[in-house]
Amino acid sequence: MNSKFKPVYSLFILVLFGGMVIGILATHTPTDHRTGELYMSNERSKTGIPNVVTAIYTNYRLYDTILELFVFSTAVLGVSFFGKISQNQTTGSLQSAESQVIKASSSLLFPVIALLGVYLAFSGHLGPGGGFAGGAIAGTSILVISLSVGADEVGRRFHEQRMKKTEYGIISFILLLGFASFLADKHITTPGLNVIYTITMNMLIGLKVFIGTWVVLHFFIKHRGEA
Amino acid sequence: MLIFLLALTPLIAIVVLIQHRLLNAVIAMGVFSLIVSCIYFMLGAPDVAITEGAIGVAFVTFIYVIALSDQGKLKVVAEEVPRFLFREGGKIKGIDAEILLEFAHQLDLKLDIEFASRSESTIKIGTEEKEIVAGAFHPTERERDDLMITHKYAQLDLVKVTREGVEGSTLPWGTVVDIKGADLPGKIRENLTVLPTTEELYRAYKKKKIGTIVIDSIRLNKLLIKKGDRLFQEHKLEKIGTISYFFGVGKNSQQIYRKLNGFIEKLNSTNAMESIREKYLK
Repeated sequence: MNSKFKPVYSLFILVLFGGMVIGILATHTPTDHRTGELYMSNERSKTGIPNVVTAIYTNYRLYDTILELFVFSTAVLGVSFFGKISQNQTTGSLQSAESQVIKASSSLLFPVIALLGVYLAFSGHLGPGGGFAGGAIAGTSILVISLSVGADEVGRRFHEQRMKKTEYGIISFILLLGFASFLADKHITTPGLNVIYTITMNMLIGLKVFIGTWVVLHFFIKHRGEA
Repeated sequence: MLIFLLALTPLIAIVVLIQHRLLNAVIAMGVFSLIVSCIYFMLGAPDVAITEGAIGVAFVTFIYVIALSDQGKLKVVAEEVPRFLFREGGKIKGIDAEILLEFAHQLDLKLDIEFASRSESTIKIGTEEKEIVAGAFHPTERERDDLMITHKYAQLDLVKVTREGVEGSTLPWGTVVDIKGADLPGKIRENLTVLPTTEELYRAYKKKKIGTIVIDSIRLNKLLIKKGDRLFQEHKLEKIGTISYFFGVGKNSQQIYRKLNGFIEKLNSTNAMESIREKYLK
């Protein structure tokens, strides 16, 4: 390939899009602050959730969250679809790491990282974190443990098909919850109940993202090196 | 501090672009995500910062590293032939090795050589996604169809080994290299058995299943070095022609074929190939 020119083209694209972004930021001034201000001023008393961001994505903007989950599921579906096609010629799989240091430290680190993921998902209503970040961290922690015991062993423990079924189950459940409040045509107004609802929601989102992350990583490990 | 971090992002982006090795670019992408995550945090969006950290720094970097970990190899399958491709003290040496190492270095790939017998080598191109056949490779007619053959890079004598007193016997002739494409007198081409390894050739010759060995001088050397018995001393060696060596490239690796061909052509036109040959063949 003409590897000499590749950086030049890439730089051109970088400058072009960078200029566009800077231009938009410089010229565009948002005129309407009202929706944001409404959320900011009323959120605490209405929902009883300290973290505004979490309150918005599990209460006011739940459909955004559901559609985001759909986007993520589509990505996972795509990865597993293309993984299936070449499944019969699978050869490579990530053996456990050769270095004893990595082996030992990854099995030490795994519970810490996994716990951090669960904590972030669980405490999303109190501080920064939430389902997405927590789920992604927990999913990555499975990669860490697969460095220690080998991906095949982890694949046996977290049965992939069952995981995928659970994933779709969670999506339908979140969808159901969303539609339930849509049909009832009112939000949960008791703050105490709403906190429980938010924790449940965050945990579900976290679980779903965790499974999706792991499925993607697992497929990448399994089909490593196939051209 | 914020201005500094913001100014750093386009710089890191340029660093990502100018990396020659993909792995370095991936690591630099991770650094980019980390800086962006810090910016989010300083702008008062810790939620976004955590998500960016988890996805951008950890998840995406892992995926790229896993995807890259088995790429970046030049997969070669070869027969072990003295002076052309052989192992010595844990290192791979020889004419082929020097050419391929330099070639892999130019493409920024890691050379991955698997040794196999002559007949297995070509099969592995198809079944195990190997890209290049090496090891004093001279293709048969069928391999000329199945593989893409590069320019020749070396030429050696073709030697005939005959027992004293069996000249003109009806025993078939045996060989390991298919010499049909070689520069030979016409009558040799008939009545020729191709055996998969030099070992089998030697055994067949010893058991008098074949009367004459037609072999290139380098593989004959291998037989002489390994056996060292009297068998060959009593026999007549005769040069009957020359044979050329090529690299075979799998049909799926068009790009590698074009590059390797150009590389060999360049070596041939300069003194480089001559000096490599001299180093090993004297």
